[in-house]
Amino acid sequence: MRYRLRAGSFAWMIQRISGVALTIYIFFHLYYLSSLRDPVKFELLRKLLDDPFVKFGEAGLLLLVIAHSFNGIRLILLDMGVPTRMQKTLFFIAALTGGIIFFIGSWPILGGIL
Amino acid sequence: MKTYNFKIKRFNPSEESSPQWQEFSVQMDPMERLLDGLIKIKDNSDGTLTFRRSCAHGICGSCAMKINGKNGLACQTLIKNMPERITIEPLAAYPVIKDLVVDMTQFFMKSEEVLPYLINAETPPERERLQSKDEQQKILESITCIMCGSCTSSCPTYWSDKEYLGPAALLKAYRFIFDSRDRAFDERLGRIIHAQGLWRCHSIYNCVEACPKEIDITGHITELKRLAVKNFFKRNK
Repeated sequence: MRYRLRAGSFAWMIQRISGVALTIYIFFHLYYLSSLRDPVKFELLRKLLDDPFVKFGEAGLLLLVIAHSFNGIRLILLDMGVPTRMQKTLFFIAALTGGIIFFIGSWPILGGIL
Repeated sequence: MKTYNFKIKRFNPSEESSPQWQEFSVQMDPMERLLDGLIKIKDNSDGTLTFRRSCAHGICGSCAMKINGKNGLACQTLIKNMPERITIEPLAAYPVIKDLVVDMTQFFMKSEEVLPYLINAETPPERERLQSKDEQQKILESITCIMCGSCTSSCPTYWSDKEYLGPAALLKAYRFIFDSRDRAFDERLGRIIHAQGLWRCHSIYNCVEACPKEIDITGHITELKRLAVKNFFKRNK
């Protein structure tokens, strides 16, 4: 469907995509946690985390979590009664603060390889 | 006078298998509206171009269409505010009957589901049923809906789920649920509180952007959501 993309529909798409991606991630996360009982397997998986690709993946994970939670807060505020005319402003505020937090947060993750 | 290029999506499902794009060059005065351009095409270039129009003053809602990727009324779109290339398509998500004319049966049936009329069995007063200014204020914005279908057709949720009531029907429900003269509060609320009703709205705000009457549709739906939650807790106290 070709329809002009506006802040509201863009925010919705981000929310959908990040939501689905995080749900898929949860399974990998639980698999990793399940290896805590097995020292050999744990060490094997832990070594994976030193891989630069996985490091980028971790930064990507941070981005997904920030996008999903900040847009989620925006939606909750709108549901609680913040007027509709504020929805675009709230989206840009969420994007800006989320971007700053992502920048600060991803530095310790990527600092070693960049 | 300035020349505008109209690119129109044409489709006659009874004769063709897929839609075709057709382009027309039209001389337009800056004071004219998009609808005037369509009428000029029909009068001078191609009489087979089919579109709905009735009042041409933004009240009947007949000429709702997708203009440059966004739903709106052709009669309310001033040509001076448009780029030289204008793409016109029929409203999305409704079946095309011919060119820009769509079948809105489903759309009207959704409104019917929420009982879009006053229900009050009490004996009517001698003159009209009165409302206070505050009570009227509550429904004033929702009353201005002209049922053009722009909102429901712009809703991504509706594109993917045709069973969804859609913003127009939910707005209609709001209009009667918050009407102090109406008495079918519970029945009407019951008809919208389900997975394909109120809770299918994901606050995408496309409907608000599309509405030619500038109604804050999502805001009204949000108010219905809050009412539904309040009602739930009140009942389960």
